[in-house]
Amino acid sequence: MKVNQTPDPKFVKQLEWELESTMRRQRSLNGTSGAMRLLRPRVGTTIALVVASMLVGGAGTHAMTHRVDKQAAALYVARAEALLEIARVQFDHLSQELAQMQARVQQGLVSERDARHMEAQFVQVESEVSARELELAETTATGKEPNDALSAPLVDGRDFVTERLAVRRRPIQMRLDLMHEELQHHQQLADGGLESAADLKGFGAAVAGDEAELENLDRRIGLRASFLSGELSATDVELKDMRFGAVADRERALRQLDILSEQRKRIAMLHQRGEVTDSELRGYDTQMRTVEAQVELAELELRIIDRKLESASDE
Amino acid sequence: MGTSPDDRGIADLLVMYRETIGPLYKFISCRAGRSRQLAEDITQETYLRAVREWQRGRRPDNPLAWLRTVARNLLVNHYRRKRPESLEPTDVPDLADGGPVDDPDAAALVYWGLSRLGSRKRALLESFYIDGKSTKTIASELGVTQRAIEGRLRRARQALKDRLTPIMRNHGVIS
Repeated sequence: MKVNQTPDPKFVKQLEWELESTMRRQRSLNGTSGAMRLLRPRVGTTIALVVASMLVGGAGTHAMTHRVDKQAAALYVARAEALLEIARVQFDHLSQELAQMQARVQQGLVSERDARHMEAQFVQVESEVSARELELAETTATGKEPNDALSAPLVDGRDFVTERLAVRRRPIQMRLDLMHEELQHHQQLADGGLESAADLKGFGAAVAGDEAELENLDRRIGLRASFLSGELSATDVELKDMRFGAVADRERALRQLDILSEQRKRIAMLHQRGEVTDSELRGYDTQMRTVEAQVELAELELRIIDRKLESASDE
Repeated sequence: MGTSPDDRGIADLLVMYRETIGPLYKFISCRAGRSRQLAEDITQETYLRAVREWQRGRRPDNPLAWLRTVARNLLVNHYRRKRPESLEPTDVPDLADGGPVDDPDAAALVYWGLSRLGSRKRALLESFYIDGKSTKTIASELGVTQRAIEGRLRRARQALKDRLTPIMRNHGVIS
């Protein structure tokens, strides 16, 4: 059976829109920061903007405490603009870095692998710009801080929550793709006896961490859709979101504990041979107890959320 | 009022997009098996990379050829990460027949195997099985004799067969 080799017209139209908006966004960035600016003033601008945004943020909080009025809304917008500008400055800087690195790749001075890592950073910053643009658009429309709660209402018919989640997804996916390739490389090194099993396990745990992050993001997108379709109430959706968060925390702590246990065994052996001091060994024990406490805390949170979920379903 | 260089840049990109989306999607879907999602993801990522190149002022002379190269690399990366057990096992037509692989599952399986071969063997088999080019055409493109191509094809085919046979055997497609 042959597969349909013609693209879906809806997909073609949507992609065209995406490409055009990406180009327009880039054009506005170039207009704002200028491609030929030197790095030094750019860093100065970044610092100034960070300070300004902190001041504006502090003032915004003060205004919110006393009276929610137009003045506070203006401050929120100013803050969102400042944060967007910071993201754009970083984007502009990284664009140039990436272009230079690609030139070095062509000259054979830098490996493709390093360039891809930089590209992943570039996509991360690109996603940051998009997220900040969405925050500014939301703040301008509502006069309030952006609302990332899964039960947040639509703003003028627009779902900023899902849009922001989708924007955050791409860099994680790209980073994960890279890490999968790196994992293969580490596996080969370990097979050849050039890397320890513990180091390989540590890298594997980092990959698992990113996979869990992506999975959590997809679950949140799914929960948001269920809320918007009326399938889940606001309470349910928030409790389920908290539950996913607590499960993710527990899994992360368990992974960390697993790695620490392995390392602890090695350290104990070295300690017996007198190559590691008592205080270093105690340091590991303290770390392990901290992570064990994190696991317990996440489990406690889960029990509380489950009880709340049960009582919510009883009502 | 004239259009700015930026507006012209966007218009040029959109013209390029409209001219290439059909053939590029066909190129990708031939290699993506039955998965429309995969074909769309690869198509989207390919054009996003094109936009980045465009923004850096690097516009390839032959956009479709450039896009195909990017898409091919993305597909190879995708299939390299794929575990063999996640593939739909199917009866791959006898590779000695020499025709293009029409069945989408077979195309995905063949492409999975191709992604694990060296780039020269992959390019040769791809031209022959996926693009359906004759040995004569490939020979003329590479500037070698048809006989040399037949020899290279035989060796590449054996390498691909070595990759695919265990999977097909595991799934009981062949004994």
